[in-house]
Amino acid sequence: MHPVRKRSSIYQDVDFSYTVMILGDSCTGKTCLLIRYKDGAFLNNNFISTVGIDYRNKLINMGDKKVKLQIWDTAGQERFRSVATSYYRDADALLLVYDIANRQSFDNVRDWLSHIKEHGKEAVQVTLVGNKCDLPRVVQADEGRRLAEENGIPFMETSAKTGQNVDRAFLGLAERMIKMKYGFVPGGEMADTIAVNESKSINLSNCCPIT
Amino acid sequence: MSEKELSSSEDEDDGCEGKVDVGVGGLEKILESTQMFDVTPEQFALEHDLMLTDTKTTDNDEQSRGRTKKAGTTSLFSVNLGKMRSMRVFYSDPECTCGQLVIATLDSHYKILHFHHGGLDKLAKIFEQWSSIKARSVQEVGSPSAIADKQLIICQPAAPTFEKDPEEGLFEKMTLNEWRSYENKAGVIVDSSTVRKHIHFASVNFDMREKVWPFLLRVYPWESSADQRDNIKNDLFLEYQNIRKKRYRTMDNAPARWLSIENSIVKDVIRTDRKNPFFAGDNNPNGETMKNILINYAIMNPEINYIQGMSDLLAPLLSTLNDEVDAYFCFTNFMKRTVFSSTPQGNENLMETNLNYLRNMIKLFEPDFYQHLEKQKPDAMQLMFVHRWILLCFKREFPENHALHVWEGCWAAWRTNYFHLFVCVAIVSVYGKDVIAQDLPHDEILLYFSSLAMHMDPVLVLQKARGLLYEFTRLEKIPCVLEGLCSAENEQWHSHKSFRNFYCNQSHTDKEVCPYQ
Repeated sequence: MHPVRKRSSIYQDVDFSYTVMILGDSCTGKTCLLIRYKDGAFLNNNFISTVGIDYRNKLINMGDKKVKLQIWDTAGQERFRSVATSYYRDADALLLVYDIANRQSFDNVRDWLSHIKEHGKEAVQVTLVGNKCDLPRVVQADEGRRLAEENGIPFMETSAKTGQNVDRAFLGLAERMIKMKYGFVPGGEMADTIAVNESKSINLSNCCPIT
Repeated sequence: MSEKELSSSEDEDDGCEGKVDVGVGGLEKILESTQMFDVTPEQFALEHDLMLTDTKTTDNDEQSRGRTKKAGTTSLFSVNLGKMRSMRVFYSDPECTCGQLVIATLDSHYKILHFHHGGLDKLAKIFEQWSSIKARSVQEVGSPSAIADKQLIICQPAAPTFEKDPEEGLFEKMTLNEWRSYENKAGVIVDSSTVRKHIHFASVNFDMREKVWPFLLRVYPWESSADQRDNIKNDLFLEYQNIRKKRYRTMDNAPARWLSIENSIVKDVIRTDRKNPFFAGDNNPNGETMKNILINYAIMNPEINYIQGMSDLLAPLLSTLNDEVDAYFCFTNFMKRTVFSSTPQGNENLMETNLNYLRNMIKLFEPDFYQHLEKQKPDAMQLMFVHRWILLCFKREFPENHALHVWEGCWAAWRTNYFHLFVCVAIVSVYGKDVIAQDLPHDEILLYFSSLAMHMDPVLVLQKARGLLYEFTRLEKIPCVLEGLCSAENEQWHSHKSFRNFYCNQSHTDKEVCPYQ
């Protein structure tokens, strides 16, 4: 967690401030997830590949606490990865996205996970997200769930197009970061992070040490 | 822009420390103007004839001057002054009446209003009065809200009066007739230096791009005759057929690898320049051509392969040249000039080379901005806000037609192969003052500049960039780290400066030994 800046902005009186990074293959809907979450809109027929790096701030209320998420959107420029590496280093949480209608994007998740292990913070909170669940699936939900369980990370399927589970994905990340640090979630946990149509409980003991 | 332009922001800074300086207008004037707060903005606008009319629904002259009060034809832009962080005025004319008003909300959203036909000065004056009243009320009764008022900054920079290249304005956009005048009977461009200078200052007419770009991108040598160019064109056509054959062989040998590369190319092709009619619609054959060129490029340059962003750079070449072979070879040469041609195996990371030049150029030309960056976390020196500018050569910073003029300016390589970096410094120079005034941290600098994308004044920025280059060429002494910035075109230096003087500015790593130390 970063010390909250003392600046005159609506972010000056936030209780928690976290950096989140969205990662994954190109065309898995990273920017769309961000826009859906930030503005509640879907970029239909107006899409454009992300070049460089960009971010948005999102302020959420959890109980009586204000949480600021600074969400970084990344692009697939492997060649210039050194640029993004410093942001891996700073990220408190990562949303690792694949496209459930694209097998290759799922197959590459393992590469992304090893990259995260190499460059990410040790305590970084990772959530695996199967996006585009409004499309005919190629990757079964069970496959995603198994891969997530193997790596001890939560999993959910989302649709940036319909908005399904998008808020929960980000809220779940925020809750786990706060819980990890403080041992409780203000206002109670709202987002059950394992969510593939039906809710499932998950043992969070491996990622939420009470400090 | 002049140094004194920030005077109003300096007043604000004084205000921050409690020394409120009313500045504009006397007390009576302010008290008089407080009356406007007794009415709603709509009433005020009506009374003072400030209603904005929707020009699409009004054709009557009287109406378009804003005198209509008919419901349905008026549209108001309203903004809560108490919920904003800054307002900044950018004048674009010497009279200081036209320009842009950039409003930043507290959560870093930017709204940019354009004033093409004057009136901005009047609005700015009202804002200034309002700001003074607010400052006074804060001083007397304390801030009524939790929001610190001191962050509201209203800056009125004077119209930019920077040093221009003395040859600025001597050239018009190049036309076919002018191009012909540069050719001899055999079609040879005799004085390529003057042609490039012409393009540097004025770029080329829209309809000349197809003809001129292959020269600018060195597909055709300047000194080639028309006959020779016909031969080159034939040779390139044959060469391209061989590239195609090679592609089929290569893809057959490693189908999985190339299928994956093709997939990532296709993903980008279908979302590149779709608003351009040339690429619009599903199953557009031009998309297929774009894909082929990118695959062929990856086949011929396996160490570079395909990187996101390439499709953005190829699209204007293809839609302008409308020929797969021409576009391929122009694209190949274009890539040689960009950071995309850095290879992981190569020792040099071209992005890093560019950023290093740029850091030192900012230090040289915009020391205040450089100081501001130095105050931030070390990440600020990564200059993240310029990455997209450099990767896509400003394609997403200016409307396409203007962006392509920037490309032409860069390709002309007049006096430097790094004109794009002068454009970067020009943007910082024209728009960066607000970053300092608002004391933006490094992450918000990125947000600030990305909000300005497509709203910046391309003519002003290019003029400033040329001015900076001119200034650079006239420097008595150049920091040693910038030695390579203008090394390519020695013959174009001013005749009275036969050699350059360098000095060591101490920005080396420990191991490097500076010859100028």
